[in-house]
Amino acid sequence: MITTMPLLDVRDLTLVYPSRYTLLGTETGATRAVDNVSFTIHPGETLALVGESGSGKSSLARAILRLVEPTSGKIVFDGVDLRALDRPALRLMRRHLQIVFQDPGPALNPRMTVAALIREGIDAHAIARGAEADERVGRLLDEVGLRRTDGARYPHELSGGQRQRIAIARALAVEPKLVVLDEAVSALDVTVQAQVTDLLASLQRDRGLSYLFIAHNLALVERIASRVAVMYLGRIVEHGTVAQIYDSPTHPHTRALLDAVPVPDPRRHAARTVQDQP
Amino acid sequence: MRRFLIVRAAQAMIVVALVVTLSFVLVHAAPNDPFGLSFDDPNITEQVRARERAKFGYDRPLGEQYIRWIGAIVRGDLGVSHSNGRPVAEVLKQVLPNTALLMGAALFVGLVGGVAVGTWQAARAGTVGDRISSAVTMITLSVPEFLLALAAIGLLSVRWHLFPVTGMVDVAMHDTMSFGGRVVDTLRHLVLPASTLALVVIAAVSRYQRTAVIAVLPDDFIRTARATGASERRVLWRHAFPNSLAPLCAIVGLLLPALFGGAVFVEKIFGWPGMGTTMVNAVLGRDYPMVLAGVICSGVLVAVGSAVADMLAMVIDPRLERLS
Repeated sequence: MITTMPLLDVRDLTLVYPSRYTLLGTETGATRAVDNVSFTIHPGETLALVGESGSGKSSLARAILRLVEPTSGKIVFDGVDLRALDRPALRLMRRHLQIVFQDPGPALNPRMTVAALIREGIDAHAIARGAEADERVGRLLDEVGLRRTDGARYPHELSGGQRQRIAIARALAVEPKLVVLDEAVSALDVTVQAQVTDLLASLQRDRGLSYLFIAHNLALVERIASRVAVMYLGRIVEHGTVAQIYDSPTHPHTRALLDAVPVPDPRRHAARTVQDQP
Repeated sequence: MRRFLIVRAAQAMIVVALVVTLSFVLVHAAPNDPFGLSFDDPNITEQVRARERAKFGYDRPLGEQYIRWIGAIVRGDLGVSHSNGRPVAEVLKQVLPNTALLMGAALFVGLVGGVAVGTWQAARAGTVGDRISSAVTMITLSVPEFLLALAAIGLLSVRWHLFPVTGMVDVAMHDTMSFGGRVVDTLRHLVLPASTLALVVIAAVSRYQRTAVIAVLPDDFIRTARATGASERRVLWRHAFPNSLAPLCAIVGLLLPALFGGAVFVEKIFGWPGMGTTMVNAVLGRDYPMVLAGVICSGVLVAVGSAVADMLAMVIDPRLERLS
């Protein structure tokens, strides 16, 4: 087992979207999007967070980064209590904690070139300037498998898979320790999904990154994650190693997710996951 | 881009031709004519008026007058202005730069100010600062321009003597001044009329800009910028602002002709020797050639305004470049 201090330690995190009143005075009920969720991620590790849409995965991701303010609970990142930080301190902390969103189309500023988008974090955190910053952008383009000449193009001129590579390069530009991948491959074609997932895995090896890999099904999880947490209606209902989850799912929702994974031969699939067990 | 300009120029010519034809009919349909009004000296007999009318061809059928006039326009001859007693082209050459100076100053200050105010409001929408400044802009929009102008003259010129009351230059002293002194003199005269026009532009533009920025702020890429660690100022001005400018481009196209109309009142009140004053006098005197020349100017301005608006839209949005 891993004995180091966890990089991210989330404890009893709860996010309630408050109820709203319509013009006629009727109240819409408050939503507990994230309900007492706890988990840890260790350096260099990938935790997969799986659940159907509406189960609170994205809300959890945004609450961890404080892109929405959590209602209660604790988020300790690298020994720092994120919820105790004021705005300027949180902004500086973002250098270490990045996110890649599901749909790279609207998530990239359409008025900025690819190079400017990747450079954004380098400038915002004053990591490098001038020619050195340009060189960093170039190396990031190399790393994510884009051509350096693509830097002068605009996001709308590139394909969905290429745009997600830009989003990944943008996240990596600030040299984070943890990257939250919020369904980062879900919007892509199946073949491109596999390519981008493999890219993420190799970047993790090269840079010692930790990932919170969020997905709505289990299809790609074993390709990248060592542990899996299953989320259902805002709670984590099951939590274990990939092998445990695949071989002996206890929660009915986990079983439903597993049944949805297209495997040509279930027995061969089961055998393979058992082999992979450490 | 060249194709775009050619298409736009052709469209502009069609628009101007239609507007001018309509104006021609309307101006001639209005009661009286240049010589019924301008020679109201009782000693001038009906024979003299008839002779003058015949001299300018106003006794011919309207269709013939129209064809003659169009023919002259195509040759570049705008005719003679009856109210000024000079060729129309000469009058335009004198007054158009004055109006351009007034409108240019008002447009520049109005756009920069309106965009700044609207963006500032959007960044703190719903706060006290937003509400108070929004109320001020709404009040400004509700008050007619000439009232603003009169209030400005009453307070700043008459009571506090900060700015001259009327005119474009100090008539008595201007010619004796050095070049720098003349520039300062003109600018001092420019402040009030330009500010009056600019105030209305600021109020209108800030309303649009506020809404445009508020519409952009919930977008995904704004969240991306925040997640990257960009400061709030950077998020607002580098990410939200450039993506909020599309509606503004359309408004700039509409503002040009609207300002031209607004300049009529403001010029009249401040005694600014520009197109506005000239046009008011021309209409009152049924000065057909001068009125129609003014209509041509504003028609061209509308066409140029919308072409500029579309070009600006292309400049600010790289995705539109391919569409042209």
